[in-house]
Amino acid sequence: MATQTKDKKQAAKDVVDILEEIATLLNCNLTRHQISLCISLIENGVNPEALANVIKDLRAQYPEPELVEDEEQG
Amino acid sequence: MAHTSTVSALSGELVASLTGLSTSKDAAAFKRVREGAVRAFRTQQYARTNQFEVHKTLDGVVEKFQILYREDLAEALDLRLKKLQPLSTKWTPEILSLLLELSDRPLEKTTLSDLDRLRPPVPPPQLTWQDILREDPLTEEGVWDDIDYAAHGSSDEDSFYVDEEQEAAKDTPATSIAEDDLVASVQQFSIVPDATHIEKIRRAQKPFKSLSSHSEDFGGELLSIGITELMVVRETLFMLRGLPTTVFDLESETGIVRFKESVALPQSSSASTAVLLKELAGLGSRVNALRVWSREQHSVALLQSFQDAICRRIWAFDRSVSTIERKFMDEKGCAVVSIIEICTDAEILARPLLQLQGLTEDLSTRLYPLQCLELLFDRVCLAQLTEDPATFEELGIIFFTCLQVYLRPIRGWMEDGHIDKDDRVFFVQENQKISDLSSLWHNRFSLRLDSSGELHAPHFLRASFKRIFNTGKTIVFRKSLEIDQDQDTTMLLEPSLDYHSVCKSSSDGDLLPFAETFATAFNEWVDSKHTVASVTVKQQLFKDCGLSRSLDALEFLFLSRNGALFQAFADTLFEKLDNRSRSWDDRFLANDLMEAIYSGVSPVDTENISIRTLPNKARIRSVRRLGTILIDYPLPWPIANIIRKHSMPTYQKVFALLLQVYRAAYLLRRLAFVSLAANHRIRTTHLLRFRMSRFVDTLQDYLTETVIGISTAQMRKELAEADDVDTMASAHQAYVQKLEAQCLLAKNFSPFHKAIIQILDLVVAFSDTHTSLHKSNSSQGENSFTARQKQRRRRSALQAAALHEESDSEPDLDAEDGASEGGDEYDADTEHVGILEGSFPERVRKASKEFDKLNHFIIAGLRQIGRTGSEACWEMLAERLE
Repeated sequence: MATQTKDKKQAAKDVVDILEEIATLLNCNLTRHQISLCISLIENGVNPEALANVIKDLRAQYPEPELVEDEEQG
Repeated sequence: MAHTSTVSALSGELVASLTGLSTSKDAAAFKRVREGAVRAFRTQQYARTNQFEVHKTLDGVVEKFQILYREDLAEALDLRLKKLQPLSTKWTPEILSLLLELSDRPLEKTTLSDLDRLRPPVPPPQLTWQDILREDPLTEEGVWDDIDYAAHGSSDEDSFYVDEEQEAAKDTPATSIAEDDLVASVQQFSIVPDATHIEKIRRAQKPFKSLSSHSEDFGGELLSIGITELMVVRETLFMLRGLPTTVFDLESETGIVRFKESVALPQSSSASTAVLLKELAGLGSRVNALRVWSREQHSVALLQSFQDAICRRIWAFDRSVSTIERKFMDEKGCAVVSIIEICTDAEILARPLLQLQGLTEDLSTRLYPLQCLELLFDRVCLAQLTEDPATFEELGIIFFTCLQVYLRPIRGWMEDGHIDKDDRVFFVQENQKISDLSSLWHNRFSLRLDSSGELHAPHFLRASFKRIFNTGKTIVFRKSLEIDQDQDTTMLLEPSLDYHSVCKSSSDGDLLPFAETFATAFNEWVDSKHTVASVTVKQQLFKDCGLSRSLDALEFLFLSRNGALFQAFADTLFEKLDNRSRSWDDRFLANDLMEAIYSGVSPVDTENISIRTLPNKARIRSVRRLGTILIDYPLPWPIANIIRKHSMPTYQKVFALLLQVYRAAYLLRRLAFVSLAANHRIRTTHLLRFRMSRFVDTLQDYLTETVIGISTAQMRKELAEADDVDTMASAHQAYVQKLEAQCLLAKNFSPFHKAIIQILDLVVAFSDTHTSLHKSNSSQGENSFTARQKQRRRRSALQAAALHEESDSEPDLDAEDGASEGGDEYDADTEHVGILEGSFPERVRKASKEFDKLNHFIIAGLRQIGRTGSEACWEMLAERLE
């Protein structure tokens, strides 16, 4: 059981790693934490298009934290 | 519910991450944004994500990267997508769709290095014991045995070095050497002292310990103490070097040394030992007093150099004492141990130090830096007189060392004209307030005097202070004249002022007193500085600054060097005066006149001439009015340092006197052509006129030739021969004073001057009388009433005229005839000196009488002065006037 949990955790970590790399390649400007939150929201039934629009709106209203994100990614 | 709260919580976190808002920071906005987001998630209706569409889009993106020459991105994306495939869940397409929505121009902005930054660097693998043991297992023999630290001793010093070499060899990677003795022995690095040596020293110190511990208990002798003479000698030598010892007590602050009375030598009596030790203690005390003085802090450079010299002597003394000690330490030599010999040697060695100690005692009473030099000088002279060559040499060397420090500001002054503003020792000081260049030489620098009014310099240098002072001022003057320094390359090499060159140079140097040899050497030193600078300045003054030109100009303007020009000026002035011109003394007209007359004279710079007139209440016909005309001729500042401002009034006075004499001569000359009526006493008149002419001519000749001519030639000669600016200024000053005295313009000659002026006024009056008479005779055919009126007015004016020669105002005359200087009608006929009244012959007689009186007075007075004074010119003038 513990091994399975561990494997599951490792698999989830791998998925997040790969998604983070894909997000970087596609220049989505999302941190690892934000990606995790988005995954959790989508798994809780949030529509990805809606989520994408909300994120874009928030970025438009509050651009500064975005710069911090860039620095963290960089 | 849980689902909503989960979404709400997740949305809150996402909002906080994206916007930076939080419950602690702008909670209302955070709450609003979060609720807006949650509402957006719930309310907005979107179509379900088509996973095939997503994959198609992703493939399209990869293809697009490939087409647009970003194969690296295409490969990386493709790889990640393939990696994701086995791990994908049912939400993977949604997530990929989200990423595709949020993608922002990856072609332009993405680089592969961004991927590297995602992963932290892998740390290098840590070294573990397993790794070490894997490579190098500790299975050799003897590795785990105990180490014997005492194996290698300090006595085997050679082996110590050998072991070190072996260790060094073992540090290198072994090739074929056996792997024994890998671990270094600590024993090799430790040195164990030999206990026997320490035991020997302890045994030797025992008597001293007993001495120091029992000295308070036993007031008398301490027998069987075992102190040998060698021990006492050693202790003495230590004491003389200022070190604490057991036989002598040393007070560290004052340096006073006291011997322990309980010390006794086995071979001599305690009394004699005590005397000897007391003497040595006294010597040590005095040397230590000098050591203490040498450690004091002083701020004056002179005292510091003296201290340094003392320190060197003390070191030399210490070295000599060490040399004595060395002969006892030499095992091979056989030195005789004698405390008496040590005492004698020490006294001889310490003699110069004792002299210095006495000097420092005298110095300490009042710390005046120059006193140190003066005391040294006196002691050196004393040492020479008392025939103590060693002390003489020692003190001489110290004296010259300190003198070099004292000479530094003097050297700086004499070579560069530079004074340090904070220097209070040097005897020249600068007066910063004086910035006028014309008083640069005389007032900018002054000598510093001490409280008693004496020059602030050592007494043995006071003889040369003037030359030092002048040399420095010459340098400053030269700098102000901006003379090119390169021209002056013939500065003599400075002779060295030290003991050997001063005292040992001449063969009879020992016979001459030190004061004499020093004075000679110092004068040579001063001369070496005082050479070309002053000559250059003098040449510059004569050539470029135009000293000769200025002197010539002054002679032309003030001293009637060219009588014709002077007369031309004077005659024009007198004509205006006689023509009753109100503006005869107008300064602008006079200025123009002077410029016109002297325009052709080269030394005179007519643009600089300026004439001004002083208000004067003297009668307009009196010659005193001519003294109100003043000429201002400014001189360039270098010349103004020689021809000083306070000598210009004398020039003015001489000019006035000459003008007055010229006036009288002018009037008498005109008189010759006035024809006289037959009914007058021609003989008396002619005689008086002749006598007056003779007087005036004699006086004129005396002034121009005897006084001005000879004095000026003398002055020019002295200026040409002068060494420096000071001599030139003094020569000119003397010339001006001589002029003033010989022209009878000085204060003590004022009665004679007044008498001369009276005679000149008499001449004017006589001339006026003649002229008026001539006019009245020629106008007898004219309106006689007018003539009678005029005569009446004249008579009343004469009656009212006072006989006061000194008065400058004639109020009665002004009141009577109303024709004063300020009046409407100016009548020159009524303006005369007022001693003549009555008929013409009466007037002539009175004038003659007055003239005789004044002439005799002048002659008698001049003869008296000639007898008492040093100048022969007065006697000459008296004879000529007689």
